[in-house]
Amino acid sequence: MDSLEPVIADPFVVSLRTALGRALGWLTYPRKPEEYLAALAPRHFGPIRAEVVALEPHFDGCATLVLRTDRRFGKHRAGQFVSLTIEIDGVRRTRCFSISSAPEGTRGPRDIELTIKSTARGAVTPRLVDPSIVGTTVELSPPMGSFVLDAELPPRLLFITGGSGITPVISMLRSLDRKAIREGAPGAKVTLLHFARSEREALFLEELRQMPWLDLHLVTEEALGRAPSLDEASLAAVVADFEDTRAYACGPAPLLRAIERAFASRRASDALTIERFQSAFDGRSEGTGTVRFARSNKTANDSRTLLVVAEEQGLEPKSGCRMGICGTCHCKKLSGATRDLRTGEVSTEANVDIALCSTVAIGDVSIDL
Amino acid sequence: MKNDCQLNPAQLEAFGDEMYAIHQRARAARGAEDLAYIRGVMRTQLRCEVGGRALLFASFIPGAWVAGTALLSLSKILENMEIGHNVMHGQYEFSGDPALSSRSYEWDTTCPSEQWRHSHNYLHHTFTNVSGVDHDLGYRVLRVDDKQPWRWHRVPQLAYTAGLAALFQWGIAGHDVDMPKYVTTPSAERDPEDVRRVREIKSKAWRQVRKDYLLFPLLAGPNAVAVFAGNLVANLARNLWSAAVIYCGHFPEQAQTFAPETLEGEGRGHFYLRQLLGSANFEGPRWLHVLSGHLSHQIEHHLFPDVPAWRYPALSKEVRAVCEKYGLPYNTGTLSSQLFSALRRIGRLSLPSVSEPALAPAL
Repeated sequence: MDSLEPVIADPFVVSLRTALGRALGWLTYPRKPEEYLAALAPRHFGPIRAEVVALEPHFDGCATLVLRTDRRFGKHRAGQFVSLTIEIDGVRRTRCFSISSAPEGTRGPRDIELTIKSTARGAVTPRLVDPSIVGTTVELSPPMGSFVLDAELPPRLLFITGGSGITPVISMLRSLDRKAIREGAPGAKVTLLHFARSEREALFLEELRQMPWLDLHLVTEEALGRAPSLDEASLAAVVADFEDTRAYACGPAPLLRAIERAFASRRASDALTIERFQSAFDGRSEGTGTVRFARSNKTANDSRTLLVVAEEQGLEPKSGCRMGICGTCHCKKLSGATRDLRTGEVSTEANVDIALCSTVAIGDVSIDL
Repeated sequence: MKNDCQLNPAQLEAFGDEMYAIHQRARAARGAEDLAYIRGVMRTQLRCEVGGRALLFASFIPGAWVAGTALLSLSKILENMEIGHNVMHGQYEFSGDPALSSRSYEWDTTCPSEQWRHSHNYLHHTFTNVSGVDHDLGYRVLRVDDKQPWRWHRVPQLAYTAGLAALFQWGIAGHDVDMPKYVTTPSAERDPEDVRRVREIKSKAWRQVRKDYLLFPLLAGPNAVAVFAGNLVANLARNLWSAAVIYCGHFPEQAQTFAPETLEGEGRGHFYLRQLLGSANFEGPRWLHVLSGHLSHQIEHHLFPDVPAWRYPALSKEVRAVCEKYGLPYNTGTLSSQLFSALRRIGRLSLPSVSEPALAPAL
C-alpha cells in the first residue's frame, strides 16, 4: 500500500488538468505529452531517478548503497521499500529493496540508503554491491509498503529478523533512536531478536549495540553450531508474553512460518506484521513449474513452448511465423522464470514482453493471457 | 521445395547454418550500445520535431518556413524509418524498456501499428516475395512480378507508382485490408474483420489529420496557412522518401519472386536463401543509411529482422563473405541505380510478359 498522503484536489482543477492533458495529447499524438516532457526536462518528468553516490561494504557480497534521489521521491516511512530499476548490459532489471536509512537520516536531505546482500548467481545484486556501481543512475518507484510503525507508538515493540531481513527494521530502530536522543527515550520498550549466520555477518551490530534503550538478542548459527530454530517456547524465553507486544518480522520464509505458528498458537496473529521478500528464480532448478494464464484463469504443467501450452489449454493467442521472427505472439509475462529458446537467456523479470512461440517456462510462470 | 540457386541440399543446409550462426552472434551481441544508439536517435528526432514545429510557427521570419519544414520532414522520416519500423520489429525489446516494446509502439503515420505488425512483420517478413501471400509484391496495385496476370489497367502503372509514392502513408494505412476488394464489395457482404480494421484506420487517420492539418494550423493563428503547408510538405517528403526506399528493397530487376509451392517444407537454409534473393541493398554515406532506417541493408534486415538495424552495415560484411563462398548473388548498387532498376521493372511489367505463365494463380 502506498503511504503517500492523499492529496485532496479541487474537482475543478482536476477536470481542468484532465482537459488540458487531453488537448495536449491531441497535439502530441501518437505519443503522450509526458514523453516529450520527460525528454525535455528529465528532472521533473518521467521516472524518479537516483544516483548512487557511495557504497559502503559490510562483508563479502553485502554493502550499503547511498542513493541521491531527485525531488520527486518524497519522504519514506521507516520500514518501507522501493523498487529499483537498473539497466545492466542494456537490459532493464527491477528488484525491490527495503530502505535501511531512517526518514530523518543523517545524510543529505534527499539521500536514502539500501543495504543489499547479493545472491550468488543473481543477475542484479552482484552488480549492485560492486564498487563500480558508484556514479550510476537508477530509476526508483515512490516508497511503498505498509510494513511501518503504527501512528501511535504501542508500549512494547518486538522485532524478529533473520539475515538481511533486518534492513526494514533498522530503519525503524534508527528512527526510534533519533527520538530517544531528542526526547531521552524512544517511547516504547523495544526488543530485537535477530538471527544471523555469524557475528561478522550480523548487519549493523555495532550500531545496534550503541542503542542503550534496545533489548538486543542475537542468535548466530556460528555460536549455536547448528541452524537456529524458533518455536513458541524459544520465543517466550526471549519475551515471555510476546503475544502482548506489537510485533514485526522480516527474514527467510522458514523463519517467518515459525513466527506465524508461534503467534497463532497464542491466538495473537493480529499483533504480528510480516514483510516478505519475494525471491526470484535462482537459476539452479531447471524443472518446469506451473504455467498460469492469468486472464483466462487456466493452469498447466508443460515444458513445451508457451504458445503450444496456451493453445492446448484452448486459448487462442495471436501468432504468426511461429519461429521467433515476426513478433505477432508477443505477450506480457506477469511473473516467473522463462527461457528464450532463440538466445538461451533466462528471464526472471516481472512485466516484460516475451515471444510465446520461442519461450518455455522453467519455473512457476504467470502470463497475461 | 524449389532450389533457386542450384545449391545442392547439403550446401543449402550449410549455408543456412552459417547464416544462423551470424544471426545468433548478432542476437547475443545486443546490449547497452544498442540502447544508447536508439535513444540518441529518439532524442534527435524529438528535438527536430519540436524545433521544426516551433520554426513553422515563426515562419514570418525569412527562412524559418523552409528550415521548419525541413526539420519536421527529418523528424517524420527518422520516426517512421529508424525508430518506428525498427522498434515495431522488436529490435530493442531485449531491453525490457516499455518505451521500446514492439507491442505498444504507435508510429507517426496514418497506418495503425497493430495492422502494420500483421501485414509487415508477419506476412511480408515470413512469406517474403511469395506471390499471392506477400502483399508487398505490388501492394495489390502494381504488377511487379511475371506471375501476376496482366490486365489492361496495368498499362499506366508507372503513374500509379508515382501516385502511390506521394500518398505512401495512406497506401500503407490500408495495406492490411484488401482495399480494391473492400471498396467493390457491398457493405453488407464485407468481412467483419476488414470492417473493424477500416474503422481502426479511420480513427487513427483522423487523429493524424486533426494534429497536422487542424490543431497546429489553428494554434498558429495568422500563420495557419504556413503551418498547414509546412505539415503537408513534411508528410509529402516523408511519403516520397519512404516509398523510394521501399521500392528499392524488393523491386529492382534482380530481386527474385517465388511461387507459393516454395513454402512447402521449406527449411532454414531455404528461408534465409529466399530472404537473400528477394531483397536488394543500396549503398551510400552513413546519414543515408540512418534516414532509410537502415533499410538500405534490406538483405540483412530480411535475414535478421530482430537485430538492431544500425548493426546491419557491420553484418553485411559477414553476409557478403558467405554469399561469395556459395556463389550466391548479393544485390546492391547506388540508390539511384536501384530505384531506376525498380522503375524499369514496373514499366516493363505494365505490358504483358513475353512468356506469361499459363496458369498464374489468381491474385
